[in-house]
Amino acid sequence: MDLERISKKSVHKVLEEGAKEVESYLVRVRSLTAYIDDDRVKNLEEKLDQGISVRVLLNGKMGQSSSTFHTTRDLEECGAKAVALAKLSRPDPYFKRFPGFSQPAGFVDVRQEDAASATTGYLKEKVEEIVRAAGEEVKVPRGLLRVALVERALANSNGATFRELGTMAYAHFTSMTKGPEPGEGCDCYYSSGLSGLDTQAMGDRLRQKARNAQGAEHFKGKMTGSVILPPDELAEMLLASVGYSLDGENALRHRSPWAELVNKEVGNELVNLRDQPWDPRSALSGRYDDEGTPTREKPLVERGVLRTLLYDSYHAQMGKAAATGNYIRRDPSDALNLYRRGGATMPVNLAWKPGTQSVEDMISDVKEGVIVEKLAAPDVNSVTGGFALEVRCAKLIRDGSVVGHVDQCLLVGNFYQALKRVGAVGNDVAVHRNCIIPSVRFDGLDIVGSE
Amino acid sequence: MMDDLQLAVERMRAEGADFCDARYQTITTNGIAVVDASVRRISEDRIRGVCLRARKKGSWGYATTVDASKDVILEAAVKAARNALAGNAMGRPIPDTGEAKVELKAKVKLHPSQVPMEEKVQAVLDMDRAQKVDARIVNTNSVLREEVRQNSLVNSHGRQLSWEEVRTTIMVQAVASEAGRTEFFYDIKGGGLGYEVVRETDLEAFGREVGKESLKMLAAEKAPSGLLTCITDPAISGLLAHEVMGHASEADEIVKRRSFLTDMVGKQVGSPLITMVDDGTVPEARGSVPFDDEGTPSSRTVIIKDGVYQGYMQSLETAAEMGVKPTGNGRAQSYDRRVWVRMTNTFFEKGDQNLEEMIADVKFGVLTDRMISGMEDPVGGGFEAKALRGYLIENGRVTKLLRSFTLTGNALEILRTGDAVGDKVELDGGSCGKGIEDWVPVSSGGPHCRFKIVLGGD
Repeated sequence: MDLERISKKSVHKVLEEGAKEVESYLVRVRSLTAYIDDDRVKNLEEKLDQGISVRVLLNGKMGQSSSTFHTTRDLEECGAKAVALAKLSRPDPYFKRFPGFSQPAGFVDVRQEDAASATTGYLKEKVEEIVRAAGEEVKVPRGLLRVALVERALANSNGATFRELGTMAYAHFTSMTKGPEPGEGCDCYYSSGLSGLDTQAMGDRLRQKARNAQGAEHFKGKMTGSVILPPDELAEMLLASVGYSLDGENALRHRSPWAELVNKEVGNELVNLRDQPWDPRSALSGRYDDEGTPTREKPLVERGVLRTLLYDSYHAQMGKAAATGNYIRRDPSDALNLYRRGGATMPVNLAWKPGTQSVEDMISDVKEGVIVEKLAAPDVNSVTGGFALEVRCAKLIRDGSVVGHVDQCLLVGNFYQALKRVGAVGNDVAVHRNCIIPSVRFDGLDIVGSE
Repeated sequence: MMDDLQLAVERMRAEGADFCDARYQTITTNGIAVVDASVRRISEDRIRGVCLRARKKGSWGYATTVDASKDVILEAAVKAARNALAGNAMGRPIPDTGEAKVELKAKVKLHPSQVPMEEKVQAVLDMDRAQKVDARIVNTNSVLREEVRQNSLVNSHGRQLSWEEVRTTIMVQAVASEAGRTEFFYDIKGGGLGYEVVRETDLEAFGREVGKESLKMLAAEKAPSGLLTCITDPAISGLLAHEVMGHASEADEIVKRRSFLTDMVGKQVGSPLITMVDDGTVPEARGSVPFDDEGTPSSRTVIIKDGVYQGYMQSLETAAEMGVKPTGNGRAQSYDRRVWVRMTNTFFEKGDQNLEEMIADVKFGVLTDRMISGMEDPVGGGFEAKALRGYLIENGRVTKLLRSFTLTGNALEILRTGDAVGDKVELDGGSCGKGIEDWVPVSSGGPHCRFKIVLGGD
């Protein structure tokens, strides 16, 4: 079945039901996963999923329905349900139309062939390579490698229509030293394809991280110094803070600390953030967001100055702004059930402009501090920016050199304030989730020992 | 459908599976979200599909499809079996689960399908409007969410089961702002309940109290840092039970020797005041299920008894590996996700002290109030939880409101310091992931508990 044709047909059918505005979003996915359990291939999976999400506007009232589908009746029931729900809703004070009056119909193919054509057998070989590369010194208690071919199509009653074919690849492995009081390592891979997956390097990192964690000593006392955050931990903290504050809804609802800060300083001159929605390295890249608005490259923060907030079509109308092409239903690690998700406004790909320093150069400039290797949960209070994060493993730096590994301490600070104390930006750009970022050094953060 | 599932099981066996099962599931979720007194979303989501799961030696093969026609199911059955045969994990055979033929409906007072949507919309609007108690409330959010799961399972040992699960949740969250400072507060009610949870709640009071509490947060002070006497409220007690002791008691982690609780049965792991269970049979609790997703009846598993470690939660596979009975903890997010060992309702049992007595004994410490998040650490046994807020205790009295802070430390060291356990257990419902995916409905909780814990105020 041609998804684009089905989506148009669905829109037509729902208009017949009485809706004034209709959007029909369809997804078809083939997802393959190979799981490692204790160094062995434990599960091989092939999952086929397809579903539809219908949003309607009827007499100013909105309704939404989503469903798996495999027959025309499923599609009709989903559309009819959305209409029925809209009738029971209340008039919406802001939303008047879906985007897309002047957009051309389009088919975009951004898939990476190695991910699109992969088989469970091929994934099995790759996960076994990673386990072998980790070596005898550690074991791999858990790991997974996933690829998915994702076809999505959208049509709405204003003529917006697109069909896009993309791929995602994702790996998540943990390692563990053998024997008593083991150390644990973790490594991830996010991309649109498999070409960047270096199984030997991943195995090497898993081994080294587990060894580092095992050798870590409990940090004692308190230190205020420089903290180098690697791309994976930094990405999670960025999405929780900057990702939240860039969302125009949070500004309009008065719960974003950046609500009144467009064209004002939110960081120092080393903070240069862009939305790069077409970057081929990321699984979320595409020419359209998940409500049909064309995506575009744009500066978010330039030399520390906030340049724009991001809006989906709903909050663009609420804020009398233009939709920015940042309504995302997809996830870079999981392609199933995309039609079920309500979507969120975020950078398609949040990129931090890299600097010229290597991580080693950055370390050599640090008088006292740490380079984080693993945080328990790299979370930030989105509203206040506050964080107090358990460090599971970090390299301790004194006078420009790594002098050992530490754990059992809290990294304490405020992320919005920390953006004004960025000391250096690395050149080691990596993709983590939908962030394309290097390591970054923040000065003046607290490390507080648990003892 | 049961006939097609039976055929699929037979097909997987014919392809060489040692053990296999076939599940058909429909999940219908209704949601109403109101923001700033306007209906932001009214939605229904319905997914349905089939999961074919085959095991050969110690490897599993899965295939899932949303097309429930017989030919497609049988084709998926072949894929599942072949995927299982391609694996190389070793494992003991799954013992006979026994034949059974059961059909169960959810035990709720008022099934969501029996309540008009108009009433539900008005209820959520009422909760939302009640939060606006002051001009400093800048944002209000209210949600009603209902989920109905219809499950059918057939396995190669002759089990044919159909059962229903119903869950209902209401949530309110108010954001207050003043002089550049912004804080929030929330409350949640719900569980394995029908619409009675809404009808039996004073919605106006529910929303109003959250509005008032969010205003109080504007004056909350930074929490002290360091090793302190800490009275954990039921939500934070539950995080300690669930995130650290619970995840590390999932037997798949034990089989792999990835858990710090491996080989701990019979050993003292906490104060004699501490007893902890996982119990999938608690009436009306969010994590309760009549059967797990392998068709094993749910049960009560004692994990710690009077401070002594007792045992683990099991799936069919881990029970086979360890030579024990399955405990009904083989769970999956939905038909298109894998089954592995998961918790249900995990909590500390009650003690004999009331909260006032526990506070009166504290010279300097903290009482927590609600959680933001927690993180598992089955390897190291580390505890990390974020409290939404708390209270400073000085000389046996609550003196100040504290804003969000982090609690951390080694779980076993924390449990050994337990010197008082409250007399009332409360459960906090939520969704639990393993790693970073596979979310299942659970609850966690306990009474107020008094420990020594490291705090870090942010």
